[in-house]
Amino acid sequence: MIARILRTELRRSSALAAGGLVVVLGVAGLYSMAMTDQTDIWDTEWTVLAVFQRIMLAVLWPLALGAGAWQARRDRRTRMEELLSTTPRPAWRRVLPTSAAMAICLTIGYVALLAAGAIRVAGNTDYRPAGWIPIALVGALSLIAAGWLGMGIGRLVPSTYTPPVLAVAGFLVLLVPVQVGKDGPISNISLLAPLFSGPSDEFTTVAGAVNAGQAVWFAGLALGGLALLMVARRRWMAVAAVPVVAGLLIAVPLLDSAPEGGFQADLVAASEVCTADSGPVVCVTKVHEDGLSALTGPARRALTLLAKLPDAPTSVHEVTGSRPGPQPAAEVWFHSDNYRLGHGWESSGDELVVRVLAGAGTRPCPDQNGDVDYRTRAIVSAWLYGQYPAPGPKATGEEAAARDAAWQALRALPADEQLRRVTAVRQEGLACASTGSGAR
Amino acid sequence: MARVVDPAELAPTRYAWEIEAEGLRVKAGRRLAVDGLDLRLGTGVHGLLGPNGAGKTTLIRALATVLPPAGGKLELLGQSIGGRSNLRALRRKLGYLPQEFGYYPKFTVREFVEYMAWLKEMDGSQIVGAVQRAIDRVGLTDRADDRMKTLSGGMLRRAGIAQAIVNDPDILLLDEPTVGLDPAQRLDFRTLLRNLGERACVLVSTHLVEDVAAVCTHVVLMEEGRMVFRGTPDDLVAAGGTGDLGDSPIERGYSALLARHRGVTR
Repeated sequence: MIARILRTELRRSSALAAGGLVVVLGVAGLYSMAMTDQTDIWDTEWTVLAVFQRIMLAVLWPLALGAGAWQARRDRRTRMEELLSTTPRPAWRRVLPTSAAMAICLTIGYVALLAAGAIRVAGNTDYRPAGWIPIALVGALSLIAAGWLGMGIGRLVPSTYTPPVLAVAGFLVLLVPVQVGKDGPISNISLLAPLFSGPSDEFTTVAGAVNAGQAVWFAGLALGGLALLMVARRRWMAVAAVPVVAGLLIAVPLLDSAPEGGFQADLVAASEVCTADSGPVVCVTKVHEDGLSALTGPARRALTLLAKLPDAPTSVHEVTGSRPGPQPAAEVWFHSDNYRLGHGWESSGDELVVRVLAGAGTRPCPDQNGDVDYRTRAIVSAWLYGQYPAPGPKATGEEAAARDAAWQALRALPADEQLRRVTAVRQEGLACASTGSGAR
Repeated sequence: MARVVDPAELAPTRYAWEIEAEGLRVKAGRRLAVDGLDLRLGTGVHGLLGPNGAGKTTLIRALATVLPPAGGKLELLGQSIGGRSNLRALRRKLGYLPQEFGYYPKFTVREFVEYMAWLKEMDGSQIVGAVQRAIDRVGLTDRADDRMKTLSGGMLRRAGIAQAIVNDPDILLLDEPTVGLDPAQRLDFRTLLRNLGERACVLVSTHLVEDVAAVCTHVVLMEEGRMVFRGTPDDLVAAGGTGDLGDSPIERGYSALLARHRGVTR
């Protein structure tokens, strides 16, 4: 019978509207990015989508909170309390179908939103990591916690104002870590909020300790909300604090143990996938595997051109900025920022050869001020390629004039001095520790 | 799943009256709205009459276990009410239509009655059939799958009666059930009440004296929290004379009894 009652609640309670709102607002949020052609903030890769969906909880979470409070007011709103008070079934049993319906609808809403984003992601990448699943599961759990907590608070304070006040207050509370985070690094305690303060890229994922900590915390919050809803007498409502505090006590050390911000490098995504034929080895990261065939030809041509250097490299490796140096002399390192998920390499053919040759096959290396000498990298690339300007994007204005002058100066030197200078640029690049980001 | 039979169900009836009150006092807010009421009601249809403010609704709410007695004795189906008594078993045998009948507007009639049947802890395998029977009995068969919010006032009242009778209650409390019913519906309702009164104790609060005359086996007249009169409708008619206010014999009896009581107390 309870299945029949649950079916009724699924169709008739405000849970359906709450789940629907999650989908409608969420999908609108995702696809409004398409108007300015910015969907690549979420549609490039599965983990990126899962994390972006979590950021959208800034709006969806308070919404679920308010919807829960609205649902909890149903008996008062419809003047059903008197009739219900004469029925034998205990209150905690009565709220089961209602709270289950809320949880089911919010979860379906969250999954449907994920599916709406997945349509684009699936078309953009063949990389299928599993790391996004816990991120999405914790997101759905946090939404259930919001719904149940809202219902619990709605029962505690059954005022008309509770749902809107709760929704607005929830939104403001969630904005605090985001605002504080803009001014500098903040404590991982902020990860008690369901959202992350910044988007991830394809080489980062949420640390396992953060997923675990958040899962425990939101489970505690959900149980606390449920307890508020279920206890028969108001004076027993304090027991609702038990799961919440327990969740908090377990979650905080877990969150604290994670890297700052909660993200860590995704070692699987950054692992190498290499050519298996008899030619020189060309490797890309696992997450950019789709780009291997497009890179292989230009990379091998670049190796041929680099052969004029002493101690010339024999293989090409796409690496992330966080890969620790020094770079082995036998390798060309090609920065991952040259690849855009869903689009491929920033250029192709000759232009891609020139990109691999930049800095004589090294990553851009920032100096103490964080600046990268792109001019020298470009001049070296043109020298190795044997053509100035080399194919690819051209510098403009003052930078163009400066590059022309640098090119003339290099060419004016004796041939062995030119070779020595280019080799020196490569040596400097090899020594680079790690770079952060920045292409070319 | 086999139903667990409560031993209480098999035990012979151990009470003389379904509803028994002695010196019952019930508060409505701070006011003592029922003040020293003695009442014994058995199987049959009992009409509860009285002017506004006489304490009819407060009495019914106490009988429905909404309000705890503030004093005196109250026994329902032989179980004493008040203090920390466990009302769960008793409530399974109650049916109640509040004066201000709340309902979930988005539910269909069937869903609503089903929900109430579930809350009354009816045997799950019986609910679907019992719901259909209750809806049929109040004449809402063709509206069973319409939302509650689409019903007219009279239909809502009937849906309220359907939820009250779905569990075949031993005590059925109806607070102004005929409000909003048209004359034809009221005739149907009287037939329904007669049937219900054959095996249950039905207490109907109403202002419509003719309803009482037509179907009630007994009449209880309340004034200022006390019982003024208890008897058959014929006794009520007999109490009135040609000089009393009213357009029908029973109305004249009603006015006469109230006037007599007021004369005594003032």
